[in-house]
Amino acid sequence: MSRLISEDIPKASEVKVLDALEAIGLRRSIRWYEPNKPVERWKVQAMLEAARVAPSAGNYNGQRCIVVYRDEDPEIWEFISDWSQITTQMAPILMFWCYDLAAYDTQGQQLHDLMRTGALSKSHGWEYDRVSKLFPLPALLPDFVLHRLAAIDLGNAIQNAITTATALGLGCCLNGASGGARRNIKGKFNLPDSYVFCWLMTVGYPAESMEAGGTRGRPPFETMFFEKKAGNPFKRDEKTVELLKELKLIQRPGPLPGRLEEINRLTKRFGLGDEWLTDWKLGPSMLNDNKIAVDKRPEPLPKEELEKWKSADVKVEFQLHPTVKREILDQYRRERGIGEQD
Amino acid sequence: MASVTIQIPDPIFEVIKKRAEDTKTTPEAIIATNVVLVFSAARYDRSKWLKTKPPSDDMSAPWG
Repeated sequence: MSRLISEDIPKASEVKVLDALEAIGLRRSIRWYEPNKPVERWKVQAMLEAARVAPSAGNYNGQRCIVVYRDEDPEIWEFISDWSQITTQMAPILMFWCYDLAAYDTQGQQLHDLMRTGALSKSHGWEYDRVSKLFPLPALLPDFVLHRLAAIDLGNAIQNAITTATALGLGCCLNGASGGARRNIKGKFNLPDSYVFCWLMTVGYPAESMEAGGTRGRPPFETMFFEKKAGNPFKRDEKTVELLKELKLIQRPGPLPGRLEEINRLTKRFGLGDEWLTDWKLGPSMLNDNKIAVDKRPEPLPKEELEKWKSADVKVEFQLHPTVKREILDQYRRERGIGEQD
Repeated sequence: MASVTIQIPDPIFEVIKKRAEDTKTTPEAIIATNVVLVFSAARYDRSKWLKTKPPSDDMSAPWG
């Protein structure tokens, strides 16, 4: 049994849980984890239970997840693509999210089940023969559309899992996997041919604060949401914004004071050395001004400040492999004969 | 490995050609990659499918 999992199950009255709006507002992609802090197994199950009850078009239920514990498979990160190396090496738990196209085989029966249990009624046009004629979907819809539906369902499931994790004090991050890693994973986990692997999710207690430096930049609300027709902005009411700030759905934008200090301390704590210190000034997001279409390189950190970080006395508590460099990762894989290159 | 000849409407092939230029590859490679990604997982167990679908694709026919 993994030492990164604890088996205790608390009473409901002992569980600290955020309400839904606050959990949605507090959610960040967490990229620094407490590598050796065990995660309660019930919390992992809660994430999966939340994924199970997520909205699913026509009760398709194709969401699949393989849970892996880092200490039981310490070299699992070798299969992950370079962008996700550091996060993957320190997270206690990895969740491999897939969808199964073969779930469409029985989707007709699943719709009949919705009728049987009273979710779908005749008053909305649902009849046994009608469903029988329309399904299975693979007989009717182009394959690309099936993938799209399945991916949206999986996204619903993952988002439920993430919100649950945040509400229970855990951090998560979805990590991509490039072609080589994708094929390696298929063999490693014995995934059936009808599975499509989409996202690797790291899970654990954050080593950074839950706010992780503040909310990320977003384009202006009015450029994303419309009333009546596309291009006609949904009017954003400032009083509603204030209400949602009080309810903690809308939280403080990053970078919060001390963010640079936080990430550079973590960089040293995880043994990544001076080379990977963040050596640029942090500043507010530029995405909130849609007139700025040109990227702007951040200003470098003053030399003396960078030197201060280099000489900072931070104990290395957990040594990460410096495979954040693509060439180091590729060489590592070559030497060990691990799978295909990305 | 199977080899097929397909006809693609010109406006769509223009999109494919542009994608190939953008990604420094050939239109054939773009098509092949997309076909593999879309169809490699499409392995259905047709024995589980509902079987009362009428042979006609005429969806205007009365249901039930």
